[in-house]
Amino acid sequence: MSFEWFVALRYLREGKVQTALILGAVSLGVAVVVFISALISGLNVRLIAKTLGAQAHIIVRPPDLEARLIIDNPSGDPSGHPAGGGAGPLIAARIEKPSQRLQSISGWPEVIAELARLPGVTAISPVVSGSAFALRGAATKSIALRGIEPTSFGRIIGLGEKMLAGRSQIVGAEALVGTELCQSFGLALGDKLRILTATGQADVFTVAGIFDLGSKDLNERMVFIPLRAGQTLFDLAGGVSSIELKVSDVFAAETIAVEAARRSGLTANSWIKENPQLLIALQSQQSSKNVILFFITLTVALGIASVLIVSVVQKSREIGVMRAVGTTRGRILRIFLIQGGLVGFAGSLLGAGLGALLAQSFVRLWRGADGSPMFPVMLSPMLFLLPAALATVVGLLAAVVPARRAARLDPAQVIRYG
Amino acid sequence: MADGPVLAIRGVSREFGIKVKTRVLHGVDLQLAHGEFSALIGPSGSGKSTLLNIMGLLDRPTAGEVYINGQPMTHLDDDALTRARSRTLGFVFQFHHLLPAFTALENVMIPAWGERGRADAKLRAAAQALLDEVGLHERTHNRASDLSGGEAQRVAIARALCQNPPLILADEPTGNLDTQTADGVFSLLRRVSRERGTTFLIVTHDDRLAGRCDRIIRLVDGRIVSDDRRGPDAPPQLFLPLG
Repeated sequence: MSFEWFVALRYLREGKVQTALILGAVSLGVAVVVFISALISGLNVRLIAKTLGAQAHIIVRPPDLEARLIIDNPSGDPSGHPAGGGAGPLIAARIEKPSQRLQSISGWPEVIAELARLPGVTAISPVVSGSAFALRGAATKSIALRGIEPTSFGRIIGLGEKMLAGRSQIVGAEALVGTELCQSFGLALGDKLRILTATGQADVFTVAGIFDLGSKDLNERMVFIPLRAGQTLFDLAGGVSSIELKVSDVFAAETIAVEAARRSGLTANSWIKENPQLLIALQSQQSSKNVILFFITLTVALGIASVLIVSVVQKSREIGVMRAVGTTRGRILRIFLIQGGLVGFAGSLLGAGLGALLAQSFVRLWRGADGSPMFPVMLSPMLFLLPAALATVVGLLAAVVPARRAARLDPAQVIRYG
Repeated sequence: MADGPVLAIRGVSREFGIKVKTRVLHGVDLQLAHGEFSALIGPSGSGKSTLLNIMGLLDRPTAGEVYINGQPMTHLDDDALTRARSRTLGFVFQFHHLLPAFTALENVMIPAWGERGRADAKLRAAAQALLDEVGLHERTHNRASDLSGGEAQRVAIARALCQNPPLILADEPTGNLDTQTADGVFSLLRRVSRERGTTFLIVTHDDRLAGRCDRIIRLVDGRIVSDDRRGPDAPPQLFLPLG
């Protein structure tokens, strides 16, 4: 073993109380970092799952309809002045954007095939959707009607897991309805429900499944029917109004959406654009975590530095003797850097374990009425590796000041005066 | 081994302070020959420790030069001085200054270990032989903090011999010991000097001890006022008036 490691380890072993204090400080710091990170990651995952659980990450739609010039303008001058340059009559003072009617995506099977090749896309499904009314007896409710391919769409929002009764695989004149709508209408599996679109198309569907999307509003408004039935009701024979995508990394959704729009020539919106508040909430949580992390790191660094400075003062005569009998400044410097790095590393291992324990206890102790954890935590290997690496580096950096102080000691002075 | 002196200092002066300068040494010249066993005596504040620090390469003179085995030392940088200290000088301090958390054997190895960075079996064997030589075989693995004053000073002597240096500087090596233990330690120093041919310079307040050295250098107010050599069999009282 090298001299520096031997002396560093011996000093750490000898100064049991100091070593215990410094390890305690690092461990607690790292434990809090691991715990807070696990908690915030868990909350983020839950928030994302709750919010994005019932919607696609990216929705591709046809571009909005634009106003078209319907009067022939042979001069090509957008002002509408007649050819010849003379001051002619003003044709239009205001261009009005046309109302947006339901459009089909032309050549949608090819678009789906193209978009499915985008890296990061895990599921893709065609949808036809619009507003409609659900009628049962004298009761009427406005609904968001979606014509879906149950298999591919099921992969996007995990429909199978959200079914409370019946099945998600619908065919023909079958429909999936939410729990709230069921309660409002007194519906049960096998019951009939009449659906009427704004254009006057109507059909009767049998309730084949009842779902819970985790939101009262969605459960009240959302009704799924087979794609073909949707196409008929919305008068889009063979067409679809949107293509919905799910991606593996939700935070990469906007990048993928931009690429999807580029490749398809259509409009592609990611959840990030459609739910900016959610992104802000997630970023706020991340920022608060970083602030906590910064101050804990600072506290740990100051703790390590102060204990090592005390150690240098206590051992100044010994350092002087080592210097006098032939130990170079560099070796003395390294002795204290090693001590800082070692306590940082060992403390981080203890702290990571403690943090994980704390997180697990938290999950076990605080549970909701349904037995599920109130505070979800997410423990990933990076959650341990990063604080461990950080604590080791912080330990090393914190030891720089005491180590330099030790290396600069004048041996003649400290041997004589301590 | 070189024919010249192990250590020579020429015109060494040392001043302290920046605005108000205090001169502690005034152009001191001194040579120590191979195998010489000398005492440096003088009243408190005479500059003994300052001179010892300069000869031990722990301090730099304000003026003058220090030669070890004929090589000038004052121009060397800190690391080179540290290496020179490790290889050519041994130190024995008044309060032994062993590292308390280390065993006797580890303390003895420190000069070579601290210089080379690693301790091999050869170094361990050499350190063990030194502990045997100073009569502390059974204390090899005892921690320094568990040793008596006399034992600790013997370990300190073994440590000073670790790199087999030609010169050992001892600052009041028996100053903290009772008379009987002091005699034992002094006898050990003499034996080492005789058997190994090591040069010793011993700073002491003890005239009785100084009287047992081959040469007595007396320093007063930063100047050498007397430098007397004697044969090994001369009676100690001849030198007592110097004290």
